[in-house]
Amino acid sequence: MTDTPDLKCYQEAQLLKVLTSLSYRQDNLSTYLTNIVCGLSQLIKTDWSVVTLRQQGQYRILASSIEIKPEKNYNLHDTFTNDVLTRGATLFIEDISAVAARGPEGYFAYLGIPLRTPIGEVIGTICSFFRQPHTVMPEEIQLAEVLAEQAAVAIDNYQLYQRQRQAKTQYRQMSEQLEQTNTDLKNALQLKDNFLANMSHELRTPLTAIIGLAEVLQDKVYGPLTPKQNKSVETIEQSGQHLLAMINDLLDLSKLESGNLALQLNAVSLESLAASSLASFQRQAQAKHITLLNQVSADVGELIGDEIRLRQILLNLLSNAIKFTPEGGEITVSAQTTGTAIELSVTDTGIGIATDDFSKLFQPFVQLDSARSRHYGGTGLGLVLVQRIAALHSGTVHIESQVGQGSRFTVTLPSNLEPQAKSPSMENTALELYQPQESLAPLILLAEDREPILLLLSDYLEEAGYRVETAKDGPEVIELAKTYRPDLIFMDIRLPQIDGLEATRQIKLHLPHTPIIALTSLLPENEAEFRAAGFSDALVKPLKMEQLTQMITKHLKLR
Amino acid sequence: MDSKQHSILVVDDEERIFDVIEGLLMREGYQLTYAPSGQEALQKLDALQPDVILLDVMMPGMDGIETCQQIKNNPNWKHIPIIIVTALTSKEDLARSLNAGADDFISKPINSLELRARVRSMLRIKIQYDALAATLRLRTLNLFDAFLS
Repeated sequence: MTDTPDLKCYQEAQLLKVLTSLSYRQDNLSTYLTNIVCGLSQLIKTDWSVVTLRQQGQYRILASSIEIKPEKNYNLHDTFTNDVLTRGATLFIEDISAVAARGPEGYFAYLGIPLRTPIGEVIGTICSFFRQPHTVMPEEIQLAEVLAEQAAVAIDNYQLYQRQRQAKTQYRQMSEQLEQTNTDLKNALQLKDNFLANMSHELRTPLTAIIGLAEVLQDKVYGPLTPKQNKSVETIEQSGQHLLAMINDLLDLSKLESGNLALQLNAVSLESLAASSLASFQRQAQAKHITLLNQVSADVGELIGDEIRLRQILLNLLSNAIKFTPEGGEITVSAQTTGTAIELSVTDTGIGIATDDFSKLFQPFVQLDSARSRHYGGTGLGLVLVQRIAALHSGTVHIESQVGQGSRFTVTLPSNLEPQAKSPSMENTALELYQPQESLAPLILLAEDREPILLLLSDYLEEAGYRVETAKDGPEVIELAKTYRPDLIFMDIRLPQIDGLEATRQIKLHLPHTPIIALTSLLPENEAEFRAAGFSDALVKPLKMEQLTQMITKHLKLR
Repeated sequence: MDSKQHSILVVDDEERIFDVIEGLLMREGYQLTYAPSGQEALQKLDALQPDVILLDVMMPGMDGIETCQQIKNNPNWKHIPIIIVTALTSKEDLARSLNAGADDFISKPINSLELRARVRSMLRIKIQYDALAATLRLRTLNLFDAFLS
């Protein structure tokens, strides 16, 4: 060694400075690590230094100071690397020949330093080999440990970055799947609606024949019937009517659920609505000796609603009441005004409903027990329709009941319903659960001529959830600003062709309210000049990533 | 109503619907004729000269709406009242039928009272029309006579 100690010191200091100022990008870890081991090799005069990374029971060489064969995995068992990993501390072996059959051939001494991440996990080593007998000074070990720490941080960051990228990709794939699922669901709903409409038509034709011909026979058009025949024909006709009622209810329910049922709003007189609805049950009530009472007085007045649908509510409630009220009972329709709402009630002296069963009443196709449904018939859709129609009128349905005493169903409707543009629909809310956020994220325009920095910044901002456009020179940033009208612009001052100051002046002519942030190494002397050019703020290099997001939050909140 | 037997043409691709209509109208004593398609109905019109047409909407080939339009666009046929019989129940379907020139509308499944009432009402219109046409013919004849004499 011919170097004087001073010169050597100086060189080492320089080298160290270079090494510690190394910048790396996530996609170039290997170059960074190679720089570290080459630097280390020079600094402490090793013949070969490598960075190893533990992978389950094996290790892999990530970087080497001399050219080696392409990377592959090595078994950890019985290696120096394993010793360092296990100990978690620096290991120096003066003579590796003393430890038989270990280490590469032709080397004499070994120095192993663990790679420890900021949270203290040992993830690999830096191994160095010397061809000649060798001792290492404590300050050399210290140096090596400093570099090892840098390597460990770089690897750790890289792994975090990879994991984040992976998570982002997964998230994107899941979003796409969700979107696809939503589209499929929408299509399926459309198919279901079409299917129901077609089925309803297809079923009506045979039903017309069944009901119509049963009626023809009952009318004795083709001659008199025996009592048995008459009873059979009557059953055929009633079953046909039942089927028809079900098809109609199903079709209505389908329309309600798909939001395809538009209300025809008009002023509806409750008094006449109650009277006409009760009239259609007069015959059935007489047959069961049930008294029908209309207690809706004329002074309840009118409400805004769809008369056909409101009648459907009342008919369904009355039909249930008649079904479940024993002979000699009583059914009352009443109404009263409470503030801005009108309450319409159907009260019966029927079999009643247990409180526990209230919630089941409004589920499609659920009847409280199957024995009862066999006895009383019905489609199981009536109350569901009542509730959905009431909801469409911005109303609610309320039940009071006691088993054996009777039930009271009260529909509360607003008396002055405003016509709605679109009916609320359950499917719609379900479908709109997923909304891609990207179109809503603020758009950031980045102008910077050095591509690595541009990539770094745009990656970071995209990770942070913003939409990013990038420009590499003055004309491009002016063009993009006009085209995309970004929410905020980061502008490097030293841009080619047109500099950042001039570009900002020009953009401000078109977008006077868009915040433009200067990226510069010159502040604060030039602050006045920046303000004059139209910059809202400035960031001084070297940048810290979170300053970017802080800046965005600050200025986008201001607007 | 006059004692002449009225003629009604029923157009439906489903023959069983004709069976129903035939049964429901049996006691009315009309002369019923069946056509399984719009095309066949048009072919029969001149020979048959029906007083009322009961016309199904959803038929393969020429549907009820088109059949209705063709009848109403023909000066020889347009005075024949048409009742559209359909399983479609929406207001839009009703409007479509009326726009095509139909005179009345009845939905499936067919209610016997409603069917008889609507057919009768259409027949009344047809009888009045025929009476008017006859008066007009008579007047023309009288005028002609007066001119000659």
